[in-house]
Amino acid sequence: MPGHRVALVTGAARGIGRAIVDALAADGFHIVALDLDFEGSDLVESGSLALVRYDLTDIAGIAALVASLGRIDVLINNAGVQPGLAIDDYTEAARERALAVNLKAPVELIRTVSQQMLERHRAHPSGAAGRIVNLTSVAAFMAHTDLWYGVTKAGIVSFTRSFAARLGPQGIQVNAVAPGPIDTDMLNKAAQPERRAELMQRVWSHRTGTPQELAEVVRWLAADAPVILNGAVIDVTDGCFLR
Amino acid sequence: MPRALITGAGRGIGKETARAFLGAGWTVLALDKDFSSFDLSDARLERVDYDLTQVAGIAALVAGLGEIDTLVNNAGTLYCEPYDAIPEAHKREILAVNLEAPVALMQALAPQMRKRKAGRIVNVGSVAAFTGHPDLWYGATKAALLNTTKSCAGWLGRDGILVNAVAPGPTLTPMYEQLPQSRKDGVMRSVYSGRACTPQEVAQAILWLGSASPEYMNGMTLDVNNGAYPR
Repeated sequence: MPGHRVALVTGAARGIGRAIVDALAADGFHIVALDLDFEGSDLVESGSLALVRYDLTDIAGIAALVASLGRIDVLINNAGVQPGLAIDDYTEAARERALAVNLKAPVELIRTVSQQMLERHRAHPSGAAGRIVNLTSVAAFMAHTDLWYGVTKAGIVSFTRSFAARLGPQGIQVNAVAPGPIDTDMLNKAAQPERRAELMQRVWSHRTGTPQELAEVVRWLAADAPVILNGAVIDVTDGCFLR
Repeated sequence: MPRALITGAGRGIGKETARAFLGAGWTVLALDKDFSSFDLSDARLERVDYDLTQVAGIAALVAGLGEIDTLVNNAGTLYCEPYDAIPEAHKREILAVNLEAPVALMQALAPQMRKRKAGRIVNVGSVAAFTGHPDLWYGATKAALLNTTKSCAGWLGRDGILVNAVAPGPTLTPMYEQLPQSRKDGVMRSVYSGRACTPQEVAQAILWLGSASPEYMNGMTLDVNNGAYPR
């Protein structure tokens, strides 16, 4: 058994995922950083950081991918796409891509990664079997101009509960984080300007959140949150949506 | 050295929260009206003997406590009496301790926190806020406290003050022992882990919200209920 914990972070090349890599590395994790491409990313492979290029629309290949990665203590389902299209402009390809990356891939990752977590639980019932953190969005709770983005983010809330119920009895934590507007390419480029303005109006501090702030919440769930905290969705919205 | 004021610190979640803050290097002002089961001792620990039903005296009390970086509104009370036979005095007591006192404490601390442009407040709600409760006024005040959390985060958030809440599921405390068996059974059927929460686990969540959680997280309620109510 290695002396360090290993975290698999999807969508790790930039934005929130990139900040999660730093936060977990600073907490002593070794990281498997997964992304479609690392162009323009400053991540550099090292003894404690592996870069894995993988297209998460390839759902069928995920089981073999996970089998090749070795031990994973923590899975961070961060990768997500927001086509930013109005419903009448949605192409089938854009819809299928959102469903695959935002919904099918994280489910398949949890399904496959949890198998080794369950084996660890059987071998050491009192030890830490594993933790999973899913990135959803306030989009899960509100009307959204990008319909399929909202649908997939609501779906993430649903499967977070389903897997918490399924895996919780074996000591595996499955929680989610629901950010409001965070300073990332997704917000700055993809989100429609009127939606962005509407969100910012409600935020008490009148600023966007930083990827680092999101990453600290993810790190806490992945490392420090009490074991009883399971199936929860933590809102990080500074007032833009109060559930 | 940062200072935390923790109400209801004499036992249960409050006592474990005091222990957690002490462990993290804080000075702790432990407020309660009864310290008979309080067994913490530390050079950085001060007892504040106060009955929170005395809401009118809270402003004067706070004026004498000095700088407070973090307030934990944990004190709460319940009786679980039949809905059609709740003594007026008990209703008054629950409303005062669970709702009026936390609000008065926030109001009393707001000026000094605003002046410093910093401060954190953690309100201890309950899953009862969402589900209803055998004690009608307990459930009602916990729901109100979560609402108050949002209002006060909006009121104070622009000044860099964080107001968040935790909503624990049933937790192994003296208060848990007061619950009817039917409610305990219901909880055990719904939680993923098949066990109640420990006060230490709730304290861990409170410590994070009261000391280290990121500033963009404000006005939120952190559920620590293990599936008892996945809202």
